[in-house]
Amino acid sequence: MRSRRGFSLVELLVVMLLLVVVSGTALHLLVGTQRISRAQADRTDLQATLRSGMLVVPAELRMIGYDSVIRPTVQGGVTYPAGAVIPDILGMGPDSIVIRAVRAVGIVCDVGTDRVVVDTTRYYSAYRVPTAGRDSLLLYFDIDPSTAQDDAWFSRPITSVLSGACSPAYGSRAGLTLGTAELGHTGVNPPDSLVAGAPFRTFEVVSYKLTESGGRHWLSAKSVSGHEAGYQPMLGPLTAGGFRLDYFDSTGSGVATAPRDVRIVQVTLIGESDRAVTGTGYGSQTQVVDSVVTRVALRNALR
Amino acid sequence: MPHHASGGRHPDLRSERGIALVVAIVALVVIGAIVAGTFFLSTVEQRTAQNTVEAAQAFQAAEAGLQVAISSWDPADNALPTDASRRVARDSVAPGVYYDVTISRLNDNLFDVRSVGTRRRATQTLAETLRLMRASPVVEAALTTPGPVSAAANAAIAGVNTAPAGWSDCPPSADKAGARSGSTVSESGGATIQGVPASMQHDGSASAARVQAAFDQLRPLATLELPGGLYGAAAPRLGGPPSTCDRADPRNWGEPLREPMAGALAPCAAYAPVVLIDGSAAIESGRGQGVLLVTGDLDLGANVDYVGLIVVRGRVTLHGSGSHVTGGILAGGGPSGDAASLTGPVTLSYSRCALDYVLRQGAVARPVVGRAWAQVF
Repeated sequence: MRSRRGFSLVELLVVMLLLVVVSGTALHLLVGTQRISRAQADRTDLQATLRSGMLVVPAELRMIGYDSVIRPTVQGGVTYPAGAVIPDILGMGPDSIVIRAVRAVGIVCDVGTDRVVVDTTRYYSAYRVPTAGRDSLLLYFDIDPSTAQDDAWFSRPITSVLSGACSPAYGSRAGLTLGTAELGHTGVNPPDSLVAGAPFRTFEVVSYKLTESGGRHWLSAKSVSGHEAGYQPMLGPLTAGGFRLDYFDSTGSGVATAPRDVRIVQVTLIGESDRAVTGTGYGSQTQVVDSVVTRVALRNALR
Repeated sequence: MPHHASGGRHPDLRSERGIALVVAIVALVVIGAIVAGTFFLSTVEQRTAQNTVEAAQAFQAAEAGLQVAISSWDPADNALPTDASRRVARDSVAPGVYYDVTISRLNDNLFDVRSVGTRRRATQTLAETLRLMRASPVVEAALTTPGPVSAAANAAIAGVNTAPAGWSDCPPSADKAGARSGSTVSESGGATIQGVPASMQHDGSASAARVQAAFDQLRPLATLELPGGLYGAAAPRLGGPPSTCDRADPRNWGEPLREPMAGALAPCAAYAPVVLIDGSAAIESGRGQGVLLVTGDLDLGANVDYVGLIVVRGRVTLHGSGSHVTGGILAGGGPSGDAASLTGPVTLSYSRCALDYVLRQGAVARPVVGRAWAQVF
């Protein structure tokens, strides 16, 4: 027969003390683990941010090219003499760049006096459907077919976008009719120097810049040709000075102001974690910082 | 005893002992869940990182494909009809990393090259627009030079349009002058000059500028650049896979003979390189076809059979026995003496068919100006 006595006060105190110690330890462990886990998640986010930045930014820069000026021309209020080039880099700075960003790539499969039909079935690849007003055309003109010396790209605005069809030589395939002004700009090029089969690009003018909002820094973009009012954050958070661009010419020397000399753009992204986190689960919490540097060779730069 | 275990008035000591176990289990489950979550996150992270690496590898493979398409351009593709396509290359750059290249004719001058790079599930597509670079030098005689021409000892110059020996598919074309000289043309010792007219002396259009213009047009098309010096037997050669022309051999200048002629190496009949010799050269014997550009003087020796165009910035000398040049020669000449001299039983014949063929075969595709390269979205 067991005795049925209760617990003494001392026993209860000991048990409670033990419970406090055990649960305290467990809680401490739990909080530490949870902090490490959160830190891990934040680092992952940070790395994902940098990684997508390294995909997006170089992809925009790689296709940078230039227009050739065959005969003196006026564009955007600036007079360009024959032999000049109009680079796709319209503005460059250490934490900002304004470029003609390519939005569609393909070939012209029929040509009219104020419109081109572009093949959207073959050879075509687009980031989005061309938009009148916002996007412009870049067209390849083969002025004298017997020589490549005078071949040139010219930009023209897109004034309308309609469905269309290619000429029979290109299988009458489905396409888009892009209305455009000044196609037969005889002062610049003979009207017959744009022929079906010529490559085209569409572009919009985009400005990329490091902006600050709510005390955090972001890589932001603004469509200049789309007349957007402000910059839209697209990547971040970054540190102050977390988006840096360095420009190099063909000899590897730095270029400060002359876009036509740029052959390589070095992009530096320095990101910080969304929250302050700790490395060990205990101790002080700080913002984790990580960076990635990539050099983009401009494939279509002036040779 | 057993009835006491399931409740009753008595405190159940066993269930009190179980609190620690439950707390421990709950704590373990929570910690386990957090750890598993972290593991899951890092696995996902590792996979995305892997994808990024593979995408970069696929991109590089696609770049390699573009370079291969340009560097190993097959002149047979110069005849591809508009809007037609041909897969030109598929190879791996590293284990598991592939490129797959297709070219399409866009119009008379332009080609589209698509290169798809693949690494596991990652693919990247790049495009490049190429322009066919063709030269169309003015060749209006068998021999054109601003300097004096001398033909001696049974040498024969014919401006009459002649098909190269064994070439069966040559269309008729107008006859041209035998020799056009900005200076004088002299014949001696049984030499013959024929053509419409046979020769033109003090011809203003046979200028140094015309020779230079032809040289400048053809210079960028050179696929084989050699130093000056003495060249032995140039001859077509086979190499690599069976029955392919060995284009890597710098002394393989193509096959001017056509089947069923004896010794004709058929696979090299489509190979007509634009050869640039930097300096003065003496070629003793052998055969070839294409365009021969020489920055110095050229001396063709005993037994050379060449079909195509020869552009020499200095003097040209043909001597020996039985050498044949079918096509045309442009010679810039030297500061003094004959710009072109033919001695012995050598034959120089004008051939529009040979000129057209080698200029067509010599055309190369190069990226267009400005915006040739594109990344497909």
